[in-house]
Amino acid sequence: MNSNLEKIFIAFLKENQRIVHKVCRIYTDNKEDHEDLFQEITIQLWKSFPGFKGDAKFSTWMYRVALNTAITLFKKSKKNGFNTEIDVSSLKIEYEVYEDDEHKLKRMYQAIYTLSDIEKALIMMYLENKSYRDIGEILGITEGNARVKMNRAKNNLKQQLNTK
Amino acid sequence: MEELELLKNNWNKNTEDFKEYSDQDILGMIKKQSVSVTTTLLIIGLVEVIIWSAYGYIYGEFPFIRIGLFAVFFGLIIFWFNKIRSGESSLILMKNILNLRKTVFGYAGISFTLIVFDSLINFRGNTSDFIRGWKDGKNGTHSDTVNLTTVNYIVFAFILVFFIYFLYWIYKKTYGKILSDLKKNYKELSKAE
Repeated sequence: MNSNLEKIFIAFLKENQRIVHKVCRIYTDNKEDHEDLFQEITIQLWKSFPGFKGDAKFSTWMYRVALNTAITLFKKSKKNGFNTEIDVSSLKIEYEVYEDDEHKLKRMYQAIYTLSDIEKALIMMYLENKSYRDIGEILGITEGNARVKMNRAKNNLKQQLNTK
Repeated sequence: MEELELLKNNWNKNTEDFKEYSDQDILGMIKKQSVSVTTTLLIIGLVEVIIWSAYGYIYGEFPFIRIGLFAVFFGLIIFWFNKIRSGESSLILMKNILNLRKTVFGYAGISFTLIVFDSLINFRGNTSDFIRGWKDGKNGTHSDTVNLTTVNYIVFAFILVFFIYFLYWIYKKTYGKILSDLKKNYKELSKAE
């Protein structure tokens, strides 16, 4: 491995790979899809890496590319008639929580999987504790728009939870 | 929303359970594209040789030239494929992709040229076979010879041009697509360098 660019990219990605994993967790519900999406995001990050000018934080840039990849990929699979069957019973919640909480978390993931791809991205940003300014920067929308969309996503999520 | 807050509190816990990818794993992922292009290439090549063999079997002539051509070129393609897969530096990868591109272009070019020349050299015989078959089919007869007119040649020439264009279209959609993917891949790598 001689290329400096490769070395820098790999070091950056290794340091921040949890971000990619978290994106995969919000968009996929099984190990195989998680790994496939991780690989796809890595390829897209590598392709876009020469365009990363360092004007944004590396992690912010990573969120942007990773979320865009996931959104585009799921749009494509929907166009091709592919429908992800969500098997929430297979969803393994590994947190150390009370049984009741575990049930609530499962319901929560179940509801998140029914949201649109953009809403999934917004909920993830909320879970990551990102400011509306950061959300706007990552998703390429204004701060005000991010606020409006976030409220809609949360309301939608609430509705989904109530219907379950 | 109580559940959302619960999820937020637990969101960053247990992230150490995520699979930790090593340098080599990541390197393998960013080189995967070139490898997958080569796999597709191999599959298309194998399908082509199977179709030619089936054609040869139906007409009772084993297509030695095609099988030989396939063997030589695919030997070369597998050689470049293994070099690409070995995961060396981007510069070496780029060189190998270019070599692979030249090989694919050579194979597709020679293969297609052979089809065109074969059709031109045997034009008279092919016209005769086609017209005889067509007339026999229409009249329910069986004849060994047929008198060919200029119109017969012109009609068959049109059909041949259409058939060659159709083959060209198939080649363009298969090998042509691979060549353009390799070119894109090469451009991305050189931009990265």
